Amino acid sequence: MGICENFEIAIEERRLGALGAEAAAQLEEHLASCASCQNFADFVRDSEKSMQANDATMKEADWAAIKKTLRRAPELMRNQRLISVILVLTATPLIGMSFMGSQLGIFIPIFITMFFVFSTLRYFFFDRRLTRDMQQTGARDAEFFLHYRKVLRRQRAWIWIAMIVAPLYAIQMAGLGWLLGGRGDEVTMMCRALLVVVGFLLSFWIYRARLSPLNQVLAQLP
Amino acid sequence: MNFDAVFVELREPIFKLCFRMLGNRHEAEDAVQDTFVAVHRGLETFRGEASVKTWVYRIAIRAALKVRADRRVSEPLEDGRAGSVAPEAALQARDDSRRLQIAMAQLPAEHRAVLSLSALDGVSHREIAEVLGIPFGTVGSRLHAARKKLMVALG
Repeated sequence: MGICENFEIAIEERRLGALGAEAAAQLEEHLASCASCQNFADFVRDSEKSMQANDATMKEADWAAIKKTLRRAPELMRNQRLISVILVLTATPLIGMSFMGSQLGIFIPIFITMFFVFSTLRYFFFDRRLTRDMQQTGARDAEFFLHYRKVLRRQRAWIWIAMIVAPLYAIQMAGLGWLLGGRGDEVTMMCRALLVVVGFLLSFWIYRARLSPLNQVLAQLP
Repeated sequence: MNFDAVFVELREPIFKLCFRMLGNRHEAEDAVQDTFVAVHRGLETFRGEASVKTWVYRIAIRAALKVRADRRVSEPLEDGRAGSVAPEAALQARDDSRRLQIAMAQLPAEHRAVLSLSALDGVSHREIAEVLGIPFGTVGSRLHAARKKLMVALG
């Protein structure tokens, strides 16, 4: 580490009030004779000023909306959990229905149901774990980013599964004879095809909206 | 510990911190919301190993990183400033501010975090170390490295 670099660090420490009197005097002496460090000190002062000037004219946050959302948070959480329970309840009968005519066998509905069950468990327990993680995990800096990367990778794995489940769920529903039966062959076939297309579109949307940005953020992380 | 008191005392610094980390007012509001939802949930079990202030700042940095992870890559930065400032000075200030935000956005998260924290009023050297979970003696060098990168990014 060069002498000037040490003084530049001292400039930062002085700004935070963490520099002793003796070190501050040495810094002043050095600044009087070093143009490069003086430039750095000017840049520190200007960039801080710029940030604080930004604060002074920053628009006020919409505190009313934030408060409203905070009040609604427990209710939203309950709804999220309710939806996940409903999904499990609707997916589970697929296993039974598959015995009665699905051409795709028992494994796909079991897979779909398992996915919804694990999603539900995640909704019930993930938030609590996240809060705990926020308090405890990744206290040191390198650990902090490792932990964050781990969370994002876990999310990515979950999104991959959702991308697979969406078309499978549509195909499975389309394969259930009783669901679309009795409407004439052409209408039935069109409805089935439409269901499958919707499933694949949903999968593509999940990729565009969630997976692709997540991959880019992961690539940018230190 | 009273949630309302924590909210009133820390909402503005948390908003500033999130705004600097994200460069976008709406995203900063989302991060503030997520922060206080997590604080609300965690306050009862908060064990007081750190001060409430550093604990909330730490949550806010994570919330900002999370919001940034959810951001669409093509989404532009906005300046988030009030429109009532006088014309020429406002234009110059807005230009500087925008350049700074764009430069900040190019920095790695750890550098954005340390610069954003150090620019907040009333956050001490020791508190920065606690929030980022780094040794007291490392704050100056971390800040120095971040400032150098900011300098390069600003050209």
